[in-house]
Amino acid sequence: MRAFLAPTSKSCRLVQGRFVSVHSRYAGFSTRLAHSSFPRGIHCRVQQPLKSPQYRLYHSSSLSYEEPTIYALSTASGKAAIAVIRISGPACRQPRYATLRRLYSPHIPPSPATLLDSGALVLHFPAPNTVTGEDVLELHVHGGPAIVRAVLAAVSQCTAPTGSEGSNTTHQIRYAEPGEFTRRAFANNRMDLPQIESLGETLSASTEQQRKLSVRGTTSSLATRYELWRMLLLQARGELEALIDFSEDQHFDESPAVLCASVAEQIRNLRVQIEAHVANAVRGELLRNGISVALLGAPNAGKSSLLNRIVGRDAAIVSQEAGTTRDVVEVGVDLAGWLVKIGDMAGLRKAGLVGAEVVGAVEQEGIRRAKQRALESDVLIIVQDATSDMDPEVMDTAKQCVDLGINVVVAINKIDRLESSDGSRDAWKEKMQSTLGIAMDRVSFISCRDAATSAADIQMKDPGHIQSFLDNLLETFKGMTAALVPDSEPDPSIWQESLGATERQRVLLSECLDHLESFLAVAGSHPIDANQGQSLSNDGLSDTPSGDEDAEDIDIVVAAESLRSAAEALARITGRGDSGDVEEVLGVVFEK
Amino acid sequence: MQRAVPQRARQLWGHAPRVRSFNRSRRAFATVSDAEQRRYDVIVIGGGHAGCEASAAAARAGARTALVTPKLDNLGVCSCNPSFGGIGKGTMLREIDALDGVVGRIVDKAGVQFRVLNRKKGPAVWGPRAQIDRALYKKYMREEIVGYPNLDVVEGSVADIIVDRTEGVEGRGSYGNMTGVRLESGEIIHTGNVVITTGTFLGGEIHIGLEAYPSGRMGEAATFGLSKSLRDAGFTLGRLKTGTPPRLDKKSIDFDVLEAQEGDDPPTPFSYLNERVQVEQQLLNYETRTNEATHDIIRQNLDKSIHIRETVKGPRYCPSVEAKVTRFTDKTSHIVWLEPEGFDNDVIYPNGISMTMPPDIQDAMLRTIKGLENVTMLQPGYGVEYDYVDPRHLRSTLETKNISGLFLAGQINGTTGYEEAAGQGVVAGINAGLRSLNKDPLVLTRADGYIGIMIDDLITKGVSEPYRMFTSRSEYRMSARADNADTRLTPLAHAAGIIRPERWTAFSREAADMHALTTLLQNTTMGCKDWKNNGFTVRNDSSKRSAYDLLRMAHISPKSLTHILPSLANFSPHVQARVHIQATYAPYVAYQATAQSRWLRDEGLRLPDDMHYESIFGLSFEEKRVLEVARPESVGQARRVEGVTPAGALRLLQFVKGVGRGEREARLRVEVERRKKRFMGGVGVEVEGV
Repeated sequence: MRAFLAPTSKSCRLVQGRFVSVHSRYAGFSTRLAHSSFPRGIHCRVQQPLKSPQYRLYHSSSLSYEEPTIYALSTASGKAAIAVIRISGPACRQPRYATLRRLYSPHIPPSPATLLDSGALVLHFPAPNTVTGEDVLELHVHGGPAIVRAVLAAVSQCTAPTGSEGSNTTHQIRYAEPGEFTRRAFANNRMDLPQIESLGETLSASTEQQRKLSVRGTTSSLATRYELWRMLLLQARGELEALIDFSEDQHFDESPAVLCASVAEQIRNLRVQIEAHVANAVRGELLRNGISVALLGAPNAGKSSLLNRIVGRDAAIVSQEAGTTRDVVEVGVDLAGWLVKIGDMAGLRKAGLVGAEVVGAVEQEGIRRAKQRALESDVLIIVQDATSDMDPEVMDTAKQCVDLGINVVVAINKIDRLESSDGSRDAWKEKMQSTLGIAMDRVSFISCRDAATSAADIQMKDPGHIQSFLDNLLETFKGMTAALVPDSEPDPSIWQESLGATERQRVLLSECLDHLESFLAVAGSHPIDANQGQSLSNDGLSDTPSGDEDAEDIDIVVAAESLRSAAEALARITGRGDSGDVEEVLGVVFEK
Repeated sequence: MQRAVPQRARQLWGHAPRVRSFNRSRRAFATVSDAEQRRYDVIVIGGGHAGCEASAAAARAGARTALVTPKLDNLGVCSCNPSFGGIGKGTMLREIDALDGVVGRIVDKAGVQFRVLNRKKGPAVWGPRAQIDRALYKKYMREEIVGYPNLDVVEGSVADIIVDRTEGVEGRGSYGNMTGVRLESGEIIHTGNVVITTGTFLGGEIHIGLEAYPSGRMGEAATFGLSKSLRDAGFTLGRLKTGTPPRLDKKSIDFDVLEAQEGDDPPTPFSYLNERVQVEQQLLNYETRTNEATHDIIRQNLDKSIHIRETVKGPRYCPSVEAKVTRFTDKTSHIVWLEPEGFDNDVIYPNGISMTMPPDIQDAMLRTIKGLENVTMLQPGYGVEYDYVDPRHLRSTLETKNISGLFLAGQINGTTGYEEAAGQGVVAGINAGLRSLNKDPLVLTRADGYIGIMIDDLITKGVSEPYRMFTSRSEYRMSARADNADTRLTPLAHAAGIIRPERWTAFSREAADMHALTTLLQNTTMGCKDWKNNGFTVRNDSSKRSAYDLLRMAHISPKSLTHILPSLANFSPHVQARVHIQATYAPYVAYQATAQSRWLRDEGLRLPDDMHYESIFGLSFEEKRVLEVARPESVGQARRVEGVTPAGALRLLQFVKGVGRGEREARLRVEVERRKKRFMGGVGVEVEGV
């Protein structure tokens, strides 16, 4: 609390080559002090200007070359009440308490003209228990863009060499490169790799589901799991290696084929787990990157109206005129915690089918794009006019999507125009199930018009049944993003973690899976059938390079090498082991 | 790990010479013994497998070399099993031969049975092995070494090494520079490069039953002075143990009830220079097994061997029969190979039952084994416990970091096995020779082969038990195989100037042949239809395949291609076989090559010798500790040091890539200033040598 009680009359000045705290009454002393005992560095010393301060002489006794001090604006740029500038590195000196200070320009004696910010909160975090593991200084300045700019500029000016010292080593203070704070946190053992990976997601989480996801990943249980798998692979390989290296010294009770079969069994189990993990990683991607939803339907079926009802604002132009929407309109929206990217698209129709109207070149392009978008989506919403038949174009595209395994929900619109609603509703449901194989409960009946006209009507709980349609949609999302749990696994909670796996991890896991596949191709098929699978090279020469005539024999060397490579892929995820090179792993992590 | 030699043992060999600092007394010595001074470029101490290879390699490099051994008669003695090679080890022997070493050629002359182990498991893990005739091996090795150009054999025991501790000599180790060795006779031989290959003789102690006495090998004295000197120079020494089985009288064994193991026909020679081995009429091995009765005797008498009770680490992978019985309690039987020791020799070596029990118990135990019911034991098995030097004191040239010019090779570095010893010997010898001539060192990396793997493992990880080579230690075993050691290493060694012309000619010829054949096969491409028309079953698809690709299929060999490629007949069967193996592994080799390049990037990031790990911010306490011990030469090596985390490795990376540059430059400036001063002020102060 003292921080906030600190008098604002004290000031913190950015002076030539350093931050110097200047108590207005001791300005001269403090400046001199800074020159004599602090050759360089950001220095805010406040509380006891007259006593001999207990400086932490940072690295000054050792020969060690200091890392440059880095700084960055840590809050988003733009207008805000407060902006936080974070400075990390040896140039951050100690005030012991949070203090409120005036910030002045360096190089120039403090005066009202050089004032940068009239009241900034200065927080100092001494190493090593800070975010980067180094001394960290945080300047909480007023959030006006101009102030922030000025202060940032002032920090960088502190890099100017100071002639009075006679030393040619200048401590460097520079703007941080992207990810550099995190890199230092890693270098100082403040975070491990998976923690860093999920940190990025914590920071960028904008919906509730994303937040949950990122919090899951921040624990290092993912890394523990990868390590567990790797140990399992090492053990499995150990059994094979024994056959290779000790066949002469020792008698093995099990024949190579039996041993391989038992190892292959373990590997199959592992494969199931990793596959589920990869699938979950993809599901996790849905949470992170958003679920892509496409609205598909004939012209004037009410796709744009539905979009506007979902988004709650007029994102798309709606008119009675068919073909109003030409290009794909993308809208990002937070639906009950899911980040959803909805694409409203041109209605599909076959040229020449709708009366005498000609489908123009622009509309044709719109239709082409709509199909494309539908095929790339995660969820397809078919919007169908209840009063007309399904357009064959729509049907075609919907079928293709179903075949691709895209989740499909149906919204039958304009039910306000149906006279005998019940009979035709069942008819629609049956039709959807028979033609597209869509479950009956995935078909909803809505009226965008009712929703629009009776929006203000408080009496109606769900005008136009939009809400029940949305509930239906959310059920679909839930199904898509729930973690897959392999049957054998007793504890499903662990699998929640796997949603937090990142793209990089997924790629390496897939690589691991490839190696497991080639292992199983060599060793796995043996007792069951003679079906020789693919080994490393997928070129039609599927023979394993055993080079011997004995068809009974499995090439244990190739099998063992596959397991080695699989384990290395896992090691590269966590940066453990000595495979790959350290820069490769770290580079990927830090490029975020 | 460290354990003092029992006091009783010490007293017997009371004299303990120590490292002398010649810093002060050099002048006196110089005047006294000028006349009888001998001077060599390289001196190799010890005439075992490491010593023979090291001395020949140094001589081959062009250095005037002396091998110092107590008895000329003991050159190339095989103190344990009468066989060379095996899985992994055989590949090392081929690598030594590819570096123009001696062992492969001698084995080809002295071999009594040649056999490629793991024949069924693919050429990547083939383990060529040979049983040898002990007497012949010793004879031929002695002839080879005594007649080797540039190489003198000096009979005598080395009492101590002489180290110049003068400060500020350029290229100096952290303790000093090698200047010579002192023999027990008092004679001093001057040299700037010494290779110590004393095997188990350093503080060696033999154990039989409850008896223990100092000795390096049955009937030979151990060495104690060196241990002390090495400790004084800052080396960490530890104790390891090993053992050897009893020797049996051939006439007392009933071979009729046992299964014989034949050698390969025709035998495959070890050396790339030989097409055939010298004696093709081969001897047989016999297989027998221990049983529950054997194991019972062992279990009842475990307390009768001090070797077992010791906490010193023995080889886990070549365990004594006592260890096998106590470790693998569920096994009711262990294999014993009865190996002949030579043509005119009635000794049988029972491989697999090294033991240290009292002789009467050994005798009783042997008689429980099938075929050995009436056996006569000629010499009991015994254990040896000895000093080894923590190999993390070594660079990848096997030169020590403490004393520049001092190289260590063989069992002294904590390894076990002839092949491991010889592999280190050849590298140490080459580099000692090259160093004496001021030439660049020859470093073998992990990617180069098993010798590189072994040295890297030793210097980064150290040893906690005797180190033995396995194929599984190599991450490149698909590319570094027994068949291609010459293509991997001979050009490297040739560039370093240690390949003699005969070998280079032979190699070049074979390499050219292989290249021509490979090109021929690669240029013969057809679609699947054409292949089928020629009688080959390939999968139906549109891709064109070369004859080289086809060789990867199990049922196709160069022979089966002759009807479409008649010119294949121009190539020798040997070259055809080699290209066949090469084709078989081509995709795997390509895959491992990418792994190699990734790996080499880290190897290229050199760490300075005198790195202050203490001052590197961000390394954990544990990392600083292990790095201070191992002092890796590169970031890649550092990553392999046990206990170094990815975070720590990144820290070193940053240091190398600039963060540490400031410090390094500052230190360089200081050094330059210092040298300038020395140069200006000290005209003619010190002359090299004593």
